[in-house]
Amino acid sequence: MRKNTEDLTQQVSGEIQSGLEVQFHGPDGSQPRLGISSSGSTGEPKLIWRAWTDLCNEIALAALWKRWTWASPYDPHTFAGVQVALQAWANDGEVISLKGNCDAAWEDLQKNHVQALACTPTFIDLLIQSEIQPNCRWQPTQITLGGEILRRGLGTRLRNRFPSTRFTVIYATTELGIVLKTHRLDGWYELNRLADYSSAWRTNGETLEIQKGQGWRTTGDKVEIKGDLIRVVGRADAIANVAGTKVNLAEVSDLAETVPGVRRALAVAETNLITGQIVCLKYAVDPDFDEPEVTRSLKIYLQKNLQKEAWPRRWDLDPLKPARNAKRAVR
Amino acid sequence: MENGVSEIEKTVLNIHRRNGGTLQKLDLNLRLLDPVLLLDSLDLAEIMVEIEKRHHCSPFDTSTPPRTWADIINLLQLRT
Repeated sequence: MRKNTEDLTQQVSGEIQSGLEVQFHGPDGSQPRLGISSSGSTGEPKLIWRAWTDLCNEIALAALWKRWTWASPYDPHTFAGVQVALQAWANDGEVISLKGNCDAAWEDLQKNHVQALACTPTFIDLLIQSEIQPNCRWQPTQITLGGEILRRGLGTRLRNRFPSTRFTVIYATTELGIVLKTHRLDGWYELNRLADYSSAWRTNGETLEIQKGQGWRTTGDKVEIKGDLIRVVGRADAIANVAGTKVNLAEVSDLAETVPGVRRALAVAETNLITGQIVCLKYAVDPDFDEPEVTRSLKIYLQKNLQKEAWPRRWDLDPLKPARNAKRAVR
Repeated sequence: MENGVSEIEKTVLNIHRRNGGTLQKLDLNLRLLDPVLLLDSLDLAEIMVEIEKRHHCSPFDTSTPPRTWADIINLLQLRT
């Protein structure tokens, strides 16, 4: 039986973590809303307000899931963290946080007899790789993946390690909520599932847009459509997705250019088999400066002032060429 | 390949110490993210970029991903 909104509201009030804000009555008597944290590459959080009923409507209920224990490494004040908690509580279950290293996560999953795990593809991939005893007894009934593109090869590894587990892959954003869901593990979604969460959809160039409520909203993601399948290819704007965390590449470039001796800098996203993407910084050093010293200062400065996901992992020094007059001539 | 092994060890230990670690030597039988190494997935990605730069191949581009640092060394030796 579905818990009513008031019951869930009471439960959320008792479980509020720092960074999670709840506004139960809008100034104009509008619907209750939840402020969910969504952070940029410099770690400055911003709040996205979502209608409480919209969040509750995205929850799936089933007798099978009653009183399950869910586990997740997501921060509880993010959209993914809120979703997992609501999913657990709406089905009279509980949710535990997986913090710390993979060994601790394995211990928590087994000790708490976790039936369902919600995490990013990067997390589950590293969890499998770090398993001390392969084929240990923990076999969850459900694994829900989200936050980043499901990379090639991982689907097969997941099926081999968890042969009887039901998988759900979710494509969602904090601003729009759930956009697509599938049980496939090849990175593709069924095109007709877009209608489950939006009234209409279209592509603008290659960028997916959906209609929710009155207007068209962009997902900011490039997609590929093949027959009756669709998959997310990557971000259309200057955003990298590093292990599920969005990194604003323009912010990284701007910060790099404040370092004395850095003439130009451009941060780009690069595919990486471990984290999905990494940040690569192409930069040019002013000829009047000592290049090794500038490079050293640049690395230290960015590591000190950016969250870890935004740190460039590849550094490409681009020699300054004459007659370039564009600010971002480094490509 | 001995030079390659010492380069990988040096890269791993540099990041390990950046994260506050004090190990002087890398036990190749350790799992890639063994808690004693104080590495996370982002550090591992950084190390892999270095390996790819030197060896022009990725140890993770395989049907059975490596679990230990010895696996990484063996995979690279097979490819040279």
